[in-house]
Amino acid sequence: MTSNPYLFAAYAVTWLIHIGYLTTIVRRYARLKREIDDLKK
Amino acid sequence: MKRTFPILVILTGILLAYAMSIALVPVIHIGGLTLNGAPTEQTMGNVQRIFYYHVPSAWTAFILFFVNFGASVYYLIKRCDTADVVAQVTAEVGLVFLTVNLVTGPIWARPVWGIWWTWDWRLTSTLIVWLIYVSYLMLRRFAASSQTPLLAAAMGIFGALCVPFVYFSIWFFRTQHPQPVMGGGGSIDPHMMHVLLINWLAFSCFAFLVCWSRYRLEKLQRAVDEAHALRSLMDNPADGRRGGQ
Amino acid sequence: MSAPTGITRVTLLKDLRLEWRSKDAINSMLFFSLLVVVVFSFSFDPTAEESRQIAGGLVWVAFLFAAVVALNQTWAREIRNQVLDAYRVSPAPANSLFIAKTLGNFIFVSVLEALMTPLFIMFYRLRALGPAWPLLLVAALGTWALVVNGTFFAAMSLRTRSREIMLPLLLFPISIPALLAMVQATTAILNGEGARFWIAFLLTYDLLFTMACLLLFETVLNAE
Repeated sequence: MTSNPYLFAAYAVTWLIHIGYLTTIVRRYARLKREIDDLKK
Repeated sequence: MKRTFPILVILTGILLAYAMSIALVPVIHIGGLTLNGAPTEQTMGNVQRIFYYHVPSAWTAFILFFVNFGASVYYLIKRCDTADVVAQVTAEVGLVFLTVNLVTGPIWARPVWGIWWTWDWRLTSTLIVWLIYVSYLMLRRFAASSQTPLLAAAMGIFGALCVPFVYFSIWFFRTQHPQPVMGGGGSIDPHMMHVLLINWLAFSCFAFLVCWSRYRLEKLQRAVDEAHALRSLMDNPADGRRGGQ
Repeated sequence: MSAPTGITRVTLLKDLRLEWRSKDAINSMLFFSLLVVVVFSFSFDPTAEESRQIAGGLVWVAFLFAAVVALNQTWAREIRNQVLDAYRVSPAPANSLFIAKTLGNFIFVSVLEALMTPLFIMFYRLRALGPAWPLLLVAALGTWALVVNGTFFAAMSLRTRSREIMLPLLLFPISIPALLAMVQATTAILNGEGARFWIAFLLTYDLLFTMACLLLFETVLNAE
């Protein structure tokens, strides 16, 4: 399909950046959920 | 409402996968079906396919920054908290997309021109816009929390106003000293345009979902912060009584 | 409607008088200008021909740093004496205060530039190939661009943590188009070329951002 390492790198980096950002959202969300549970007590 | 989000995620995922495949290969045969992907470029070869990720990222980022501008203006007029959250979210997600654009640019430039960076018109202007919105987010981080929305709205407006100046000044600067042009100047092959637009659509849907998630997170964060503030008020009332008495 | 201009004039004169009497800032800025020029001189050792190409950039970067140091002080005195709060509750229009501060900074930074320029000319053996008077216009427009946004962002930085570092963080990115214009115009004039485009560009930038500052200053001042 594609033997070009730069092409692969570009697409991979794109998704790494997006997944990285999404991960920060998910982590913060989990932390917030825990805080809310604490608050409810 | 709760069902919509997962459905949209799946649909967007499919669209993204489709967009990526037609960007990467000229023809796909699935079963009896033949899908036409992007043709291979003559001079640059397969590396040119980075184009289908590089350009939509920039377009999406600028749409988000435009929304940021609108939200900032709206906040100044109506002082509505939702507008402030939208402004924050669009600036952040826009910056993520612009970062993708700024990183894929050099990755494309290296095999084509042999250099990682060039002060070509588009790359330079994009870098400066990136700096402007980073400073916007820094202001949000460092401002005293009660005034953040207002200060950020002012900064959002300044930033947006600056963008045309950035592009125009650097365009003029660079046309005096010709530099390699990124992305080709002339008309684009219609097949390539088709693939480009599909990728743009896919990334726009993706951006929307990311913004939506970030929006929900931010709303929740602010609600929790308020709850904390309220609780500390109740635990330490000004008149010296303790607890909810 | 002479009240706003009256307030502007009074505020400006007060600032200038205070500066003149204390000589605090003036002395430190004088020394600062000399230091900047000397330090920059060590980074390059060009011939007269080369220096004409890079002088534009060097000079404006030096002016930019001097401006930031001056701007950071802008509101310091006001904060110390709670003058800002007095302004907020007075019926005086916020824009009068803003214009007074900006004009004060403009004069201040211009004085610094006037001090540094002969030093630069001497150390780099600068000589303009064409008429040099347009440089004054570029200096005025460029300084105004830095100072108008700088005064506004300095007011915004008051409400942030790390306020001294916040000012350059906000000011530099927004000022880049203006900086490009100043540097290109200066280089062009020194080399005897036309700088009309860049001067027109600077003028447009100044007009637009001055308007934006005037529109938004009251909001920022009263942010609570």
